[in-house]
Amino acid sequence: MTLNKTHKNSAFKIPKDYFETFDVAFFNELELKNQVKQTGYKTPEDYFIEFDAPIPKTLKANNSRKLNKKYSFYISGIAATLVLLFMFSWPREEVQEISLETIENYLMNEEDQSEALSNILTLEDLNNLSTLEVSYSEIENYILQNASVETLLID
Amino acid sequence: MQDEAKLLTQLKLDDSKELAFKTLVKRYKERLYWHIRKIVISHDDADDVLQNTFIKIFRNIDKFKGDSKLYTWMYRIATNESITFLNSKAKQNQVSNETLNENALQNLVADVYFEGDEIQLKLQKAIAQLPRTQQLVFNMRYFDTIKYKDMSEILETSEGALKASYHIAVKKIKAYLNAH
Repeated sequence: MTLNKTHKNSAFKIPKDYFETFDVAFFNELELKNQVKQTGYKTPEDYFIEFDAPIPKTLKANNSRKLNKKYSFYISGIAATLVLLFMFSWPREEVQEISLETIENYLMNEEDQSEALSNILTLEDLNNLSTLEVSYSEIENYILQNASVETLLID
Repeated sequence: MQDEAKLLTQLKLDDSKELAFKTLVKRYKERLYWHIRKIVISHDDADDVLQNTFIKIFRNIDKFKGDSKLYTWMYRIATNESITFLNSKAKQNQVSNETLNENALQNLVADVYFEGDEIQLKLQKAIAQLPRTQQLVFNMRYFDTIKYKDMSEILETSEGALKASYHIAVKKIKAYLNAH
């Protein structure tokens, strides 16, 4: 019995043209590996010894701030109660949203604001007023402390 | 294999996560680095992508269901991170991916972290001529001898297609080296 016959009788199958293409592929690779085996890349000295992947801080913080399930249940309950109380006891007035542009215009156009502005801005800021960037929170703080909501809503 | 399963369990527990992650980094940093380096070419870029890869691994380890091997899953992340990195770099420099690749190869000659001889440089140029998937397949098989089965998990392509890609890539590279 020849070797071929043995395999023809077995249940194993091979992809079409496997033996016809095997030696070509095999010798192609072998020939190439005889010419060049390595990439030629290298790393700085001790790179792998010194390499240390950073652990994301946000996850670290999340891990250390885990609440006991029992406490988190109570806290959630209290928070929900407060929200409900707040919703039902707060006077139902229509709240208009004030755009950042309105607030900026108010601050820039009101005549008597120059003194107030000088309290929160430095001389250099005032000189560069056209290009000045004031943060949203700074504007908000100022308005909460100094301006009446009615005036802003009219504007 | 058992060791990998143990490591995976530790990675999913808050108490042991950080320590297990350090073990993971220690174990896989070199293999992932070389995989990334062959895609992005420069050491500095490879370093950036390797860091991002590990951050992504750390953030997503809870989502790893164990449908594939841990290392093939990490290789997949590293591959995606490298490709994303190259795409955004090309966009940032307002050039095509091909131009970016050509520039990287030109810089390779003067790169202090490349000590290849003429034939190695030629090989890199030949690899750069291949389509992206063939490049990946060639690098993984030729230099790292990754099994087709594992490669199939990494690239989410059938083993048959990968084998065909590899043989075509070898043929093209041989032809390039003979012609240049």
